Amino acid sequence: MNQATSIFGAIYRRKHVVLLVMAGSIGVGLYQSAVNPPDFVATSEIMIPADALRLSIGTEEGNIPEDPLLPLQEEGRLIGITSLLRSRSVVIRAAEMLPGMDAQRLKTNIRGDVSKDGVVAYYGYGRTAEEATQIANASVKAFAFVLEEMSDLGMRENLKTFKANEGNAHLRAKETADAISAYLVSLETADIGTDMENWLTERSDIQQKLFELNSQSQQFQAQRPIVETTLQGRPEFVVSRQELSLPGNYTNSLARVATLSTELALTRLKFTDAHPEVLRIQTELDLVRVQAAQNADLVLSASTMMQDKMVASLSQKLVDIDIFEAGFTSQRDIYQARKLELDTLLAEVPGYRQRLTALQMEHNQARSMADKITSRREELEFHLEHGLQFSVIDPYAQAVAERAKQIPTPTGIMMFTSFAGLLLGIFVALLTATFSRMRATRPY
Amino acid sequence: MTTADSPTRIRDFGTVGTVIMAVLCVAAGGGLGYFVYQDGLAGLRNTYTNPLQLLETGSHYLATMVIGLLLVGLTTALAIVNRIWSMDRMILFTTGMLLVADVIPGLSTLLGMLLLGKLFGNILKKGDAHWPLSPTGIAVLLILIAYSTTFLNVESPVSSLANFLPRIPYIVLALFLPIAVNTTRKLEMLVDYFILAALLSLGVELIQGVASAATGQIITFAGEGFETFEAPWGATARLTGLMTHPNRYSNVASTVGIIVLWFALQPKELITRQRRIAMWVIFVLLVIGVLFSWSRSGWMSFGLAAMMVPFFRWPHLSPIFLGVGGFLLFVGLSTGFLEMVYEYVRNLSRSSADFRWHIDQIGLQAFFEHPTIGIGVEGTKDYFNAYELQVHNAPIQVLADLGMVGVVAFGTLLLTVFSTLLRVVTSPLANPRLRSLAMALGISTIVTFVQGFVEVFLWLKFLWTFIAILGCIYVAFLEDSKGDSKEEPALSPRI
Repeated sequence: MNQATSIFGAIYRRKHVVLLVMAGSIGVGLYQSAVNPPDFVATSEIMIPADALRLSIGTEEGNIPEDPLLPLQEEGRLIGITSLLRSRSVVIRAAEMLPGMDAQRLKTNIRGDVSKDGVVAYYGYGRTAEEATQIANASVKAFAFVLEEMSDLGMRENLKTFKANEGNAHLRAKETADAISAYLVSLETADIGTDMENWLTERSDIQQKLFELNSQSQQFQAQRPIVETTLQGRPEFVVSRQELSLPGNYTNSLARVATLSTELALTRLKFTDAHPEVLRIQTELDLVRVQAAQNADLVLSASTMMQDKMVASLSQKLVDIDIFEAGFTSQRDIYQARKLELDTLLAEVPGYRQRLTALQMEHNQARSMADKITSRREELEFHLEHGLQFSVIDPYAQAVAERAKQIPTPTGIMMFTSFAGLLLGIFVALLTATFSRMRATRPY
Repeated sequence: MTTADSPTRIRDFGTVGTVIMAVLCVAAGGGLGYFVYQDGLAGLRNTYTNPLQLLETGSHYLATMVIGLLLVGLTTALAIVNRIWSMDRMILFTTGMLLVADVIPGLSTLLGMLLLGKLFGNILKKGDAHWPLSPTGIAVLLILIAYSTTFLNVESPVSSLANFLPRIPYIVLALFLPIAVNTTRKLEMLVDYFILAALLSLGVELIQGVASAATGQIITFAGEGFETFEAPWGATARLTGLMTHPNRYSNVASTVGIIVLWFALQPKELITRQRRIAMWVIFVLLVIGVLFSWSRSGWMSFGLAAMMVPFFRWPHLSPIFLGVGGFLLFVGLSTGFLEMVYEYVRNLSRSSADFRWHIDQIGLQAFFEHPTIGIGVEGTKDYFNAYELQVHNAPIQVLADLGMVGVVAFGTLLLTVFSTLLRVVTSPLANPRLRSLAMALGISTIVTFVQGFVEVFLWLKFLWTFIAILGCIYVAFLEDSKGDSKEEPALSPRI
């Protein structure tokens, strides 16, 4: 049979077979539906907030910086929920809510699923719509109860763990604080930072003093030969006061000059300048003036001697230099020794600081952990005291008998029986046609 | 009776024929109207895997417009190519593209229209059409029956039908593809087009790789969640070619890789030197392509299938292969090298590897509790399943979704496929070229078989198109056996 018309013809010729098989299929389907009452399925939903169950290390990981305190749960939340859906705990509790319902039978009548947004759907299968509804709703309630129990248990277990760890955590924080104190005591400081600043200031001062000391020393070394040379060239004492007086003939000459000057002035009132009297007086006056000038030199009458101030100053300078040089070496050595001591202290500072930082960090971590454990413990105690709801049962999402559906649906039965019947009819028609052809070609 | 000179008309089939045709037309019109209505109502909002989402999210009537444009394009193309190309080649090329290009929408519908066009065109022109019945096609009827049990499992069977209907065109290809692929020559031609389509996809992959590297953005057809791969050196794009998922791309490319590897190893009387060189080059390119899909399941299945090729090609040397392979295995295991490689590859994305085992357990649980008809296709997504993903294991998926009914249907299909393949391969009457094709396609099924254990491949276009092609091998064998097939030279120069 390999021609189109043969195939179509074979089917067409066996149209009664096809129709009979199809009708038989539909008839059997309807008969079975009538004889065996269909099941009903009702859907009931419960919502689980996305973070409700995350009480494991998944949540605590962010809070607690150190080693895990709680058992590590790697299974996904949804997978955990899925395994809980038809667990023995849920089924038995659901069966307890349904009088006359065997837990084993109930288990086969429950189907469940969970979506990624945390909606859990229970499909309850029952002989009647009411039974299916009751199964679905009871399953949801049982699931919510078990979920609450599990979550509550988880929180209580967490609380126990927190309490067990809390004391140790605080003890650890105290130990780290003590370690910091002990270290500071060993360093003989209360604050290494302030000490270091002081050391740096002092070192800077010493550095400045050393510089000044050396400068002074060099200055004095340069001055010493000059001072000594100057001192050698100067007398120790010098005249500090002298008294001078004019000689007697000088005074007389001055008086004669005054008399002659007066006489000359009077004579000129009477005579001209060319008069012999005037000329005589004038000549005499000039003569007397010359004499007075010649007798004008002062005459030392008394003098006082005292020590030369410069000599005294230079001597003092020399003494100062001697004193400075006598103390220079010891002073310099003291400064340098202190400077060395400060350098040694400062060189150790990074190590001190590193160690202190490490201790401080350790302490901070321990303190933070202790505080967080305390905080979480208080939080959990609060929640457990007040109670938590881990799921939401919305009345509108519960199963109701009016919404329960027949399974298989009448439409499904008709679709299956007619479609499968038609295909089976064609299958039988083609098969019988093939056999007929084979018998025709190979009758044996 | 009708002749070629007097085309068949509807009324020639009599009253019953006229009524049937009228009913079909009304059904087609109603179906089209319903499709447009749904497209306008929901648009592409619910088809998140549809690559057209990239263009515009939630567009109304976009699918209608695309299909309308496809129809216009098809009509125009037919009008143009009818003079330069045959309808058969259109069908073969579309089949090749259907295998490798999930991102091109409407290909299976287009192929269905082409096949029906050829069928009814021939009937109307010549009074009959050559339509060999493939045993695989008959087995597919059982698959459809098994699938329809889903209607009994769901609260809204109409919604399930909406999922089922788009799958029907490629599932029933096993029945309809023999209309066009029924000789060794056409099979060879189809495989050549398949390779050509894979090369086109490889070219797209290359463009994706270059564009992603140049822009620093992931430019592939993959959806969010599996578009990147956390390699030791950072996030790396998983290239998809023309597929929507890197694993599916690796599956297709690996399958073609095994086929070309087989061709490259053919005896010289069956292949020219140039074609052998071409096959080797294509093989190497496909290996690189599979590598850059970063699909570990693809690597594994490709490697295993490639290792099997020599056993089938030179069966008399099997003891040597086993000895050498065993020795290498021993060395690898004793030195810890294989374990190291395994751990390294596994750790590349450990969570992705581990979640599969959880979902497998969900699937098995569903089967044991609902052994007869399972819980319906894709039912495991809502069955105690936190991942909201399907079972990543084809056998368990069949068990969970379709129960024992599905096992019977798929068992029948598998038995049919492999018994017919075995018949062709072992028959002394078989054309050597057909036998070689059967070996190539048969061995390449190892890829899908292996990868199917860790991926969701059950309802993919590639799988069902490939099953249809496997069915065509037996059809070609029967046609050859009758001795009336008009054989033509091989198609090597065409690609």
